[in-house]
Amino acid sequence: MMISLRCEYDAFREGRDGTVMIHLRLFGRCRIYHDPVSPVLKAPAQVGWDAWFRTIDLVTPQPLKGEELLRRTRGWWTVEPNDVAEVVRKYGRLVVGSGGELLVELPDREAAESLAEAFRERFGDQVQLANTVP
Amino acid sequence: MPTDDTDNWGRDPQVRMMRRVFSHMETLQSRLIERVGISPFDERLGRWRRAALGMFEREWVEVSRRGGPPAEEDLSRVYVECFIEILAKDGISLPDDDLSAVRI
Repeated sequence: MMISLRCEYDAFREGRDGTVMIHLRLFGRCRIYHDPVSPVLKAPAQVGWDAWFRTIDLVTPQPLKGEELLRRTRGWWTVEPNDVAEVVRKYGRLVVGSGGELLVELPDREAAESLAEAFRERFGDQVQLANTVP
Repeated sequence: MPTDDTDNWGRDPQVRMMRRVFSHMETLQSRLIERVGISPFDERLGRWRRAALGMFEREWVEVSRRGGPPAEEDLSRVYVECFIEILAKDGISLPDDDLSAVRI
C-alpha cells in the first residue's frame, strides 16, 4: 500500500446538534449516459405570490431541503428518488451542503458502510456514496 | 444496469458510445483507486477527480485538434493517464506493474 488511510473519513462536519457527523455525497446514474451524477443546488428557488385582492411584490428565496433536492433527480437518475430516500432514512438524513451539494449525513463510519451496502443490495451499482468535494 | 424499460436514449449510437466510454473510465478509475489502496470515501478523491477532469477535458480538445475525434478507447486511456498524473503530483506513485494492470 502506497499511502496511509488517514484521510479515509475526512468528510466530518458538525451536525445539527453540534455532534460530529460524516457527510458523503450521493450519486445516482444519469438516465442517458449511465455515468455517476449528483445534483447541485446552484441558486435557491425564487417564490413570489399572486393574490385575488392585492399585488404582492415580495419574492422570497427558498432553499431546498435534502429530500427536496433528491426528488428533483426524478427522471434524471435511473432510480426512483423516493426509494433512495427511504433507504437513507434508516441510516442518516439528507442535507444540502454549503455549496448546494446533495449530501447524506451519517453518525459514524459503521452507518456509512451499512448504507453503502444497503444501496448495493437495493440498487446494485446505480446509487453510490462518495467523498465531498472541497 | 438500469432497469428502465423505456430506454429510448439507448437507441442512439452516440449515447451508446458515451455509455461505453464512461463505463470504461469508471472501471479504470476504480482499478486505479484499488491499486493505490485508498478508500472510495477518501476525502482527496473529490479533489483528484476534479483535477483529472479538468486535465482530461483540455487533453480531449488537444487530441481532437491533432487527429480528429478520438477513438473510444483513447478517451478512457487519456482519462486514466490524467488521473495517474494528478496522483503523482500529490506524491502518489504506483509501481510499473500496477500501472500496466490499470491501463489494460
